[in-house]
Amino acid sequence: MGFFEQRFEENVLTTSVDRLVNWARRSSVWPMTFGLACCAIEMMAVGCSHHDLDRFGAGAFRATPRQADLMIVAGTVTFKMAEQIRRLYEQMPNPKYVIAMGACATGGGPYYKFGYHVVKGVDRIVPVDIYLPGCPPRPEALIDALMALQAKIDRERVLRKARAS
Amino acid sequence: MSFDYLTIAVALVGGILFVYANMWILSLVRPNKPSDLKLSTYECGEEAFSSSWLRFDMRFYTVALIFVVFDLEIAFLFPWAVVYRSLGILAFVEGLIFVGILFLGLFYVWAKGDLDWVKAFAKGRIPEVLDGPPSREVRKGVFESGLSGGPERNGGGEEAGTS
Amino acid sequence: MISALPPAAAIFLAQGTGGESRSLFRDLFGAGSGWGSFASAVLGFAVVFAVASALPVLFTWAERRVSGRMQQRRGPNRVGPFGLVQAVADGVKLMFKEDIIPANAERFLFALAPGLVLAGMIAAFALIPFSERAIVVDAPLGVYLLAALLSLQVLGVVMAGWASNNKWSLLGAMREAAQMVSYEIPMGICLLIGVLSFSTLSLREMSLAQADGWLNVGNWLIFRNPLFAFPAFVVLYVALLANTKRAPFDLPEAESELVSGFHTEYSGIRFSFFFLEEYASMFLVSALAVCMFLGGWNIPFLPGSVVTGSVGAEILAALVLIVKSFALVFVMIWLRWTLPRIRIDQVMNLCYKYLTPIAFVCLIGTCWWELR
Repeated sequence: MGFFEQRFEENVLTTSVDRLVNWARRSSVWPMTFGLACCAIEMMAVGCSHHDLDRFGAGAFRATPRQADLMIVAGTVTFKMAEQIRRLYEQMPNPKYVIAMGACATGGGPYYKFGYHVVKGVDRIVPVDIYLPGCPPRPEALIDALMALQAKIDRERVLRKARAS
Repeated sequence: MSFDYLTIAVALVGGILFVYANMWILSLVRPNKPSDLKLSTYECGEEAFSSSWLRFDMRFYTVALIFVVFDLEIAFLFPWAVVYRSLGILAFVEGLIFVGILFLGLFYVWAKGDLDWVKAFAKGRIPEVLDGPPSREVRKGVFESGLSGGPERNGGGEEAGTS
Repeated sequence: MISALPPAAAIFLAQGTGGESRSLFRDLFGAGSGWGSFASAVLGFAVVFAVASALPVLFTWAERRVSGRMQQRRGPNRVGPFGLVQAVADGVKLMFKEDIIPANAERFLFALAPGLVLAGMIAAFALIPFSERAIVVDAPLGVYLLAALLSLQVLGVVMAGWASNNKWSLLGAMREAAQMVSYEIPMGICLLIGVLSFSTLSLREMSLAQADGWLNVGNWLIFRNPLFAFPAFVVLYVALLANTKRAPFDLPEAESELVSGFHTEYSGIRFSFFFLEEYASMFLVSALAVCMFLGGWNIPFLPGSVVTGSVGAEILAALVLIVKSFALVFVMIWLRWTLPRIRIDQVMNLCYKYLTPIAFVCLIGTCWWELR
């Protein structure tokens, strides 16, 4: 825990710093190059010319979790893959965010009833910030999820004390 | 020491100090939540199965040796280049001899095949592009060069033939 | 050219500056002795550091916008006008990002490596003459020292790769070292061609010597000696691309095979030091090539007196140098988003079997040309 982190009352200085940091974090969400199934194809489409995730500053897909901020769990999470997902998530530096993309990652999707091999939602192994339904979701939906994540980052508290509840 | 080189020295030390100062100051504000899993070595999500401090490829030593030879020669050539125009034809002949010896070395290494990343390619034992299934000689070459683990077990040598 | 550092240091200590320095910076601040000269050296470092850290902000933005245009995208456009402050946002975010030193890593070397890489780059920046007098260190051995400082980066990179105790890092670092030391050979020979043609090691004097001539471009090295210096410039540019790890020579950090190469384990602000160094050295090597081959701060078709003398002319000269260097940087970005990455054996073949012989032929040819 950083020494100054979440230690101060609200005043004009701390709120300004918080706004600056949150602005920087929301403007430069670097996703990890990480795809599991068919949703990953849609994720790639988001990075391509037509949808262009780079407009939001989020186009810098980093290959290593050490430099990534966002893990887009794009596809079916099998039990075999769960361990790796968990480890990759842990290896990302804080602050880190997770988007559960598609029906499988959100809650098992079509495998919910008979999928003996599928984790029923990635939120059973890593904390999820944004759930994105669809099978697979359209690229526009992923952009919407990113913008929802940006709105969530805007509410973060960096220097200010966390709220009581 | 003169002012000019003092600046270079200050820049060298200052660059390193800047990094350390930066790390220290920012450690006050950045989050720090280490865990065993987070501090583990990244290996594509798998558990790291060994230390990475192992022996690496011999070819890098070859590269380093060639580099040392050439780099020293170039360092020697710098003073020669500065005074070249005032010395004229003498410097030209001397430089020619010097570079000629260097070139001899380069061609020797070239002919020996040490400039090739895979030495077996240079010897012609393995063609770089395969048309069709590899011939018996090629597979023998692959085995001798150590690129494959060993000879085929199932008697593939007969059925491949020459194509 | 790390091996050049000790002899270079010995020569400095033996002969001092060896001639009067024309640095404006020295005239303004370098008059004192003892603590005074130390203070001015610190000031010189500050100036150089400000320049060196401002450029990457511009270049990362340029890289992302240019790549966007080349791929028929828009590139970053949400943060500030035309996404101009995108790099600032990236920087602030990285500052407030957690820093990870893996438990298995060698902590001391892991922390030292980015500093070493950065220090060599910043020190080399002090040697670039932006105009006749706008130069922080006018070293009589400028080119030699610059080449030596550039090769400090190899040390830092190998250190980073080894200290990370990560297989990707080690492989990336070894490739990087092999590539950078190999390409120093053609680079060194091409620098020799410039030294030989102007009979000086000082970049400032080289730029001055290219001032006047036929149509005021005739003295530029690539036009003065078109038969040999022009191919040498091309060879130098390719070697500099490899030295700055730019595509198509970016296989030390090839994402499709080596994750992130030698900085795989580096996170947050530590990673950004490598990032900073990469983008700043793009400008550095471009400025080196411009000073030696493309006439330095001289404007084509205008006499050299336009850019020397008054303060306004010096500012114009600095702008000209910056524009020329930016043009070369733009070509680097262009190449990155156009060419595919090449294999390690192709990299080595290109260096030893093509560039080195070509560079040597150019050297011999230049010798003959200067004797005519």
